[in-house]
Amino acid sequence: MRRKVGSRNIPLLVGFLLSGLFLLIALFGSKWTAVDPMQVFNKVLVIDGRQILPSRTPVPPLVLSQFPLGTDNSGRDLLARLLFAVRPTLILCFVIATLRILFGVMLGLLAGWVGGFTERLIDLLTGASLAIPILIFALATLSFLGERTLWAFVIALVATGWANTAVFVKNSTQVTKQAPFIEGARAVGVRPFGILRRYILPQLWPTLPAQIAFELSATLLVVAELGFLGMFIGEAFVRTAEDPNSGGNIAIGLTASFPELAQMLSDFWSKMISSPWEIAIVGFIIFLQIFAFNMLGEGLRRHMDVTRPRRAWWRRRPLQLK
Amino acid sequence: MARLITRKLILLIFFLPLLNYIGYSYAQLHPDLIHSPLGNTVSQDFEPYGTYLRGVLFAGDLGNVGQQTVSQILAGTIQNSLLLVGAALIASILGGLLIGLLAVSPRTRRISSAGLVVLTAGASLPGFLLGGVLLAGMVYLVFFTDATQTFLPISGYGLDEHLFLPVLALAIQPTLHLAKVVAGLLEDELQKDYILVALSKGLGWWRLVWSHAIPNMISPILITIGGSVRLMVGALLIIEAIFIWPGIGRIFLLAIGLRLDARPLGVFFGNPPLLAAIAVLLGAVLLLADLLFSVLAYQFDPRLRLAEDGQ
Repeated sequence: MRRKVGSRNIPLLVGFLLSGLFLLIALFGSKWTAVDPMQVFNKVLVIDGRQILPSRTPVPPLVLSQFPLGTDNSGRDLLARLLFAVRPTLILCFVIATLRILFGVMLGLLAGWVGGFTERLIDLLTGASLAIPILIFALATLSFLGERTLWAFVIALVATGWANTAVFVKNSTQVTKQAPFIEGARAVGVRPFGILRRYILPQLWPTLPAQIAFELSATLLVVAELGFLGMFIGEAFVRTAEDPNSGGNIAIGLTASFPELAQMLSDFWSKMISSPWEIAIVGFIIFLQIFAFNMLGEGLRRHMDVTRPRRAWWRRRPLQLK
Repeated sequence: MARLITRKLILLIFFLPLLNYIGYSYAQLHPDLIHSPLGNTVSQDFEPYGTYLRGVLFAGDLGNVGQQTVSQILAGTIQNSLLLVGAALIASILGGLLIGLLAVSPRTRRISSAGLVVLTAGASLPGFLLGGVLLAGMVYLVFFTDATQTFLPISGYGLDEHLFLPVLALAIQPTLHLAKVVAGLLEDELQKDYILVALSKGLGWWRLVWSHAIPNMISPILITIGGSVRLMVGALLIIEAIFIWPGIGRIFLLAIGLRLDARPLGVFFGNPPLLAAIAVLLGAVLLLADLLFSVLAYQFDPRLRLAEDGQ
């Protein structure tokens, strides 16, 4: 017996499982560890007969059972920090992705439905937003705003980030607008707003879940890049070390107190020398999260694609003529 | 065609002076420069935009940064950056097309699930993470084992193996993104009726793909490549910072006040003529790339030409 071609949606399965895992960590991760993610370990530990102070010499992973993933470059438990870090990053990405979709859908609908001068104006805005690399725009905006709050990040990442969704929604609206049932609706006297709500929006719903997932992954990528460059939410303090020449303290880098994934990528140079495993582990987690969202989006897109020979229990069946 | 080029050129002529103005006033208005006692350049000391513009237009003088002129600083760095982006672009076009065409199975005419998982994974791998992890791994080997030298040069400029890691980090995501797009387009194209006709005539697989499917896919592919130029220019900032590549991205980071180490900012921070010149350059590269790939798409896809003429 042959299985039907494409009867299993592996991307959707992988995407759901991985995203679900990250959602669980975001919701309950902080309860799975008894260690305070902000506690700096200052007690001397003995590894292979050598005495080590975690706050000075970070502990590598898999060496001590106390620190399964080792410590970060300030001597704090990396596993506990990771478990706490997922939640703020996900909240940030969700807020930004939701706002991007919201603005994108509104402006796209407006451009596709109204036409004329409005359409040309929105097209100009979309073109300009699409032309600027989002990282450059976000860096310049955050540097200008000078504060590292949620709202600064929202402004920096939403101000041009809505354009992709808008293009997509506009094209879809323009196609739907030509359909005979819109003409029919007009003929029986449905008002423009009613047409928008009852005939045009429902055509968009099936594509939105995939769009949200892709938007999440794009947001996370930019947030990670910004974190790598030292732009992250939350307070930061300057790490100091004794200067062998003068005897005083010199600044060697920035670090933060409350963990957040993007922020854990910052301070790359000192981590590269003192705790390279931290870069590898945090980098892998971020990659996994972007991968999860992309797989989810791809899976949802395939799931909603009616040209594929499958039927889902909740996809509306075609109207049967009796 | 002529209309398209004219429209894009008008956009270019309109946007570049605007970017110049935005870059200049950005630096003049930057709050850190106005309020912070630590900023070592005070923006209000710089000449107003009108004077600067007159200098540019009539004397060809792009302004000064410390002892150097802006054109001195930018001349070499542009070359280095273009070299890096060019190499990465060529690598990603060749690699993306090849991987994309190989990902579709001739038997089912669909992308295999495993292929899709691999392509999505590759397209989700940010280049700077890959670069950072490779760098950290190599440094780890030197520090914690008895290796005396890293396997590949990890930083600096050079036209030899120095290119390898930055190009890899810059090209990996655009390559697999392009591969994914190519595979998706090919899959859609292969479901159409004319492919069945071609198959029933007994055409071979590569003949089918090369002379029948590809000409129909060429314009979205070119537009995707144009988009990946934008991706690369964005990623260039961070890749140049990681691999200490002396290009325009590093100058830009310094100019908007970011350093990856905690040393004080140099004279580049918030220099209005410098930022104005960088804004114009980046804008010109992006708009010209957009122009080039749109023109190519029009050239190779007669349907677009017909649509334009029919209006």
